[in-house]
Parts: sequence; structure tokens; C-alpha cells
Amino acid sequence: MILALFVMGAVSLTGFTSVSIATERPILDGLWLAAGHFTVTAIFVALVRGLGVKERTLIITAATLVAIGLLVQYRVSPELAQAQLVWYMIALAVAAVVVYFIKDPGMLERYKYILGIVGLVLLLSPIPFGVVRGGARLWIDFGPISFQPAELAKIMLAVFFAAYLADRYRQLSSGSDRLMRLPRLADVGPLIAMWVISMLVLVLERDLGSSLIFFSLFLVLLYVATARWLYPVIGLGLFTAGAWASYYVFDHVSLRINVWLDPWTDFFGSGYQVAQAQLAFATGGIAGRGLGQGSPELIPAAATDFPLAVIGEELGLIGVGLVILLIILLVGRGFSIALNTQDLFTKLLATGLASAIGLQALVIIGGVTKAIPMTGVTLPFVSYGGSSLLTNSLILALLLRIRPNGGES
Amino acid sequence: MSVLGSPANGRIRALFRIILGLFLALFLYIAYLQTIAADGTAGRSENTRTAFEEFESPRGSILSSDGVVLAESVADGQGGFVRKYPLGSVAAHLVGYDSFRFGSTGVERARSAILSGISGGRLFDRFLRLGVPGDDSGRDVVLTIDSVLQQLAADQLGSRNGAVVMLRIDDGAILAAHSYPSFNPGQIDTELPNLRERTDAPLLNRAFQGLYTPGSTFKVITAASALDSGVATPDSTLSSPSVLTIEGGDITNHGRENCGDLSISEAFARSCNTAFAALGVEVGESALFETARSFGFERSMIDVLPTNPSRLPAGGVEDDLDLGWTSAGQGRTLASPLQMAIVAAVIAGDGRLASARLIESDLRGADSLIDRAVIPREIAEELQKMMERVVASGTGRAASVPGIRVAGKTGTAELADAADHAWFIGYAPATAPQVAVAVIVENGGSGGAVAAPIAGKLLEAAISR
Repeated sequence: MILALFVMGAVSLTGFTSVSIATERPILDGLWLAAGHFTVTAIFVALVRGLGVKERTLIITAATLVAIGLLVQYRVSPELAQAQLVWYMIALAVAAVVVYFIKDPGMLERYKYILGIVGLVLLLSPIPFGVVRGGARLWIDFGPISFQPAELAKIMLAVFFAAYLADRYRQLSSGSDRLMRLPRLADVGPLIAMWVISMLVLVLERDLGSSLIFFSLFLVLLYVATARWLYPVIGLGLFTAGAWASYYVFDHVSLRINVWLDPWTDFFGSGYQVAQAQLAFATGGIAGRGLGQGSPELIPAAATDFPLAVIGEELGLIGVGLVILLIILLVGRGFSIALNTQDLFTKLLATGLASAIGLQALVIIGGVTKAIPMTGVTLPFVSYGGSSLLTNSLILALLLRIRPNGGES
Repeated sequence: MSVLGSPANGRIRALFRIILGLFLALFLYIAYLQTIAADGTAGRSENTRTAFEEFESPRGSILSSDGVVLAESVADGQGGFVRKYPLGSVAAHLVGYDSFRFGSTGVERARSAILSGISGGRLFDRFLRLGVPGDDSGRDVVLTIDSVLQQLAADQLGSRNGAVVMLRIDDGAILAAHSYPSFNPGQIDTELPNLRERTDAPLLNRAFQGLYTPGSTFKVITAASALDSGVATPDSTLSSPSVLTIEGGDITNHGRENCGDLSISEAFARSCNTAFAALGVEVGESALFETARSFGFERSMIDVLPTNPSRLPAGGVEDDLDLGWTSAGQGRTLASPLQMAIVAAVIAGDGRLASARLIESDLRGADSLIDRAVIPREIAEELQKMMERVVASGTGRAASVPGIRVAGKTGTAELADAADHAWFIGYAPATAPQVAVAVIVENGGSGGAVAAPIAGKLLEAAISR
């Protein structure tokens, strides 16, 4: 654990120093960030070890992703990296508090309805209160602080889904002896309800990413709980149909799709960001152009939505592969925690939390690389942004507390 | 609550495999973007990344073989570099330009990887350096061009449209290649739109890309083909009336001169059309064109810069009348000045063809030289005597140089609606050939009067260097 921590620190130190030199910034700036990141991580490790947490893969993997993110932010602007370091500090402090108070995430099952309702309200709150930024209504402003409620809603809804399905899986999977029999209307009721909510998010908040992640999170847990593969199939069919219809009805959806199909025609307009990312990946090649040698200033929102394009240009396919590997490691560790716990609620919760990170990473990496239409969600732990970092750290905290022997059983 | 533990685990594993598969697919797609598709995407005109980078570090210089700077990067005092072209328009079509606005042409483009220092191998070095800047400046590129001969070619051609190409015979090195009208590569950022508009095509490298009716210079090929196929021998007596009627059409000698009965050598020296038309018809289309192709027609003669292969009549000749005119150098055959300099070099080099080259500093194995026999040595030697006679006592006397024996062939390409193109191709010294030359002056008139003197001056200068 300590060794892994120091290896991470040494690598991030090298990275920050490289960027400082290449961009002709004071070397001390980079050193300060590397030292800050290392110290915050080390204090968190010490704190949670003191609280009896033995898990290390999750923490080191997440911290390495944060270090890569800080490197990208420092590359774009030192002020951004400093702000993100402050967010990292806050996020890990909150995570440590959660680790201290929630010794067994199984207890959350009791609050499923409160969390479910708060999560739903948070998810839909930008509709009446939100501010449109970057074409999507995702933000709520509290004075100087902006906040993306959909991020936090993700955790609460994951708790609700897990608890609801742990409770109801028998009813929902009844009739599974006859494979092709359609479930009763009462059984597909929840599915339809979630679909309607996801469509509301898509249409009224203009947020294809959150809508897709929220809905597929539900489908994933529905499948794991009920063993009925028909649910995700019907669900994905419904979502595709809804998204397809909104392509024709809503300009903001059709714009995204058209940019995905051809970002080059309107290069200096709607296609600019996606096309610049394509150029960044292509120019980077296998080994990249070197840290500090790329042109992240050409990509709008490089630090928030497109950090992977900056990595792809400066560190090449090798750097991109490393990021993907770290995310797979993180998700895989989350799944392995789910496999080892006995209690169905915590099992589903761990699966949901790990899937949330994995699905979100797939959606944004796919969008940035033009594999799928671009949707403005963050790359977990890497992207700049307080709401995102806080949410992912809370996911981390909950996963750290899920133990093999489970809770109530 | 653990009733479902084990079967749910199977589904969690299945779920992880699906997510893993999706990540793997995504990674393979990104790998495609960054490898196979990378060059195509990165090369798009929208991509300003490499351009920015190139203008932030000094580019290597382009030098002539005698060490004169043809292009160099000079610090602009603001952390960047500007490209300077000390010789201005003199070697513009070879050197090309390198503009942030308009991209690059010529050697600036063809050897950009070396000049800018950005090439595949260096990218990995940078990754290992992890962004620590090192020596990013490019390396120099040395051309085979001799600055004195290049300047002389420009001076001799002056403000007449046309081109001059001079080759060293033993290795095909291009010593001079000038094209007029030209442009100043240092002012391309402001001038290019005007240059593109001009009807006299100053951006066209006439030396490599200009295609002209070869006129009587093509008779070198007709004569070589006739001698090689045995249709004529040096001792044959040819008949060259002022007018030769073939299939109802007339082939005429220049000025309707009646050359009478004469040897192939004399017909060559006096450039009698009807004698060569008759020879060409007797040789036949396929043998004549085969000879032309072996001299390089229909092939690019150099790969560094854009060239237009010289053309034989598309779809073959229409009839014997067409074949007759083609054999005399008129008709639909088109040749570049580079091609015709190579024709002279092949004769001077005893029938062997060495590939033309422009970059002295290119690493190349001996086997990459095109070095093959075009025509048998004895036929080349026969043509050497014939070409020497042209300058000694024939149409090419204006190319003669005191104290040096010059060999050559004039050409006066007749055009339907404009003044004749003046051609001269030749080499010197005739005793031990060193350099070959081709000169064309567009609509300049008689080859012997207009092109031959330019060639003489260049051959004289080349021998004395």
C-alpha cells in the first residue's frame, strides 16, 4: 500500500515537472501540485486505515486517475489545477466522513424511499431551477457555487434501485420458468416509469448522457436482480426509440447526432469540438507528442469534457490505454467487492456503483472519440469539476465500506 | 438474504464481461484512430497542430551542392522563425515555399520531415523525454543544384518564358533547373493569390512539368530507333525531297528546302523532316514508341517533385502521315525539358540511362539508380558523331564553345496558332561528356538561333567549373 502510494507520487512528480518545463512555467508550480495531491491522498489513506479499511486498489487507482486529471488541468491552466486540488481535498474529506459514519452501507437500505425521492428531485431539479451551460440544463447556481445535481442523484438512485430490487426481485422475476412469457403490466411498471423519467431528462434537460447513464444503471441492476435478460432488451429498445423520436423532434438532439455523423462540414461551428478531438487523437499517434507539446488550447472544454483528447494527443495511444486500464481496474475491483459480499442489497449496491463509473466512462470516452454521439458527462476522477469529483469520491467511500461478510445477515 | 448470492454472482460476472468487452472495443477503435487512420486525419487542412509546432522551431536549411543557402530559417525576434530565400526567384520551383498560410511546395514539402525535424522516429524520443524540450531543430537538405549554373540559367533565359535543365552525365545529378516566369518564395504569403490568377502560370515548374512539342530534338529518338532496328545504317543513302506525300497528306522540310539524297548523319545535321518521316514510317509505330519509352517517355523521371511524364500520341498514331510527322517531332508527342535533357544524357553516356536526382543528401543504395542500357553502345556512338556534326556544321552552330567540342540537336517546334518553340538539347565535351543540357524558349523562334546560344553559354560554364 505504502509502496504503491509512493510509486504513484513519483510518477505524478515526473509528470508535473515535465509539464512545467515544457510549458515554461515555474517548476515549483508543478511540484506544489504533485506534493499537494500526494499529501491529500496519503492523509486519506492514513485516515481510512485508522477506521479499519483494508482496501487499497480502489484508492490508489482513483488517486492515480485524479493525478492524470490534475496533469491535464495543469496543462490547460495552473489555476484550474489548483482549484481541482482544493476540490480533491474537500471530496476526500467528505469521503472520510462518510467512511467514519457509514460503517455498513447496508444500513442505507432503510432510507431507500427518502434517498429515492431526493435523488429523483435532484435529477429533475434543473428543469425548473437550472441554468443552461454548453447546451445542456445541468447546473444549479448557489451564489458563486455551481452544482450539477445529476451527479449526486446517481448515488441516491443507485441506493434506491438496489434496495427496491433486493426487496422485489421475486415478483419481478416471477414467470421466469416460461422464458418468453411477457411480464405482467405491474412488473414492467417500474421499467416504464424509469423510462419516462429518463426521457424527461433527455428532453427537458437536454442531457443525453445523464439520461442514458441513469436509465442503463436501472437496467443493469434489474437484470442482475431478476436474471431476466428481456428487461434490458426491452429497456434499451424503449430508450433507442425515444432517442430516435427526439432526433426528429428536438433540435438539440439532432444537432448532436449530425455532429457525430459528420463533424467536418461545420468545422468552425457545431462540429469544432469533436473534430478538434479527432485531430488531437490522430496527431498524437501511438506515443503522443510529449507532455506539454500538444495543443489543448484548440479543444474547447478540454479539462472538463475532453481530457482524454488531451491525453490522446500528448501521451498517445499508450496514455489513453493507461487511463482505460485504470478505469477497468476500478470497475473490476468494484465488481469483485460485489461478488464477495453476501447480502443482496449491498451486492446490488456495489454492482450499481461500479457500473455507474464504468457506464459513465464508456459514454464519455465513446463521445470524445466519436464512437457514439457526444454527451457532456465527466470522465470519472479525471475531468475537472467539483460535483463529479465529490460524487465519485462518495462512491469510493461506500465501496470501501462494503465488506465480504455483508451487513445484516 | 443470501439465497440469491451465487446465481446473482454469475450475472455480475457476465455484466463485467460485457463492460470489459465494450472498453476493449472502444480501445481498439481508438487504436485505429491513432494508427491506421491517424495520418489521414492529421493531414487534414483543418489541423494546425503540426504547423504551429514547425513554426516554433528553426527549420533546417536547403543548400546547393556548392554550399550556397537557398532557404533558411531566421529568428523573427519574437520567439518564432521566418523563412528566407536568399536567391529569390532563381531556384523557386525547386526549393518551393513554406508558408503558414498556404502550406508548402517543392523540396520544402518533399523533405519537410527532415527539414522540420518532425518524423516518426522522433515522436517516440519525445515520449521518452516526457515533454522535456530538446533539440527540435531540423536538419539541412543539400540539393545537387550548382548555384552558379542555376544563376546563369536564370540570367541566360532572362525574361523569356521557358526552361533550362542541366544534368551531370555520370550520376544524373541535376545541376540546374530553371523555369520562367518564376516567383519569390519569400513573398508567397502576400503574392500567392495573384500568382495563381496569372495566365502565364508562374507557379508551374516548366522544367519538370512543362510539356512541349519536341520538334526536331525528337529526331534523336527516331534516328536511334532506325539505326537500332536496322532500317538505316550510317552508310545508307536517304532521300529527302522538299515535300513527301503520305496517304494524301504532305510532310514538308523546313522552308520547303529540297535536301536531296544524303546520309542519315547529314539529314540529322540539316534537320530534314521528310527523311526522318520516311524512316519513322519504315521503323513502324511500335518500334519507334518502344525506343521513346526506353528513353523515359510516359514515365516520371524524378520522384522528389511533381513531374509530368512525356507523352506519346494517346491511342497511337492515326495513320502513316501522323506517324511521319511524329517521327519528325511534330504531331501530338509532348516532352518535358527534363525528359529531353535525359535524352541528350543517354546519348552522351554511351546509351545508358542514369536516373535524374535532385537531393544530394538523400541516402540511397547504388541499386536504386536506374542504370540500364537504352540503346546499344555503338548506336549511341553513331548518334554522338551525328550530334557533334550538328554543332560543328549544322543547325546548332550557335551552341559552339571555343576550345570545347559541343554536341547537340536543335528543334523548332511549329505550333498551329503561335510562334515556334525554340529547342536545343546537347552535351559537352564531345570527347568525354560531363554535362547534358536542354533549353526551351517558348514561342522563341528558331532553336538554332535562340536556344542554342543559351545552351552553349551553360555548357561552357559547366565545363570550366
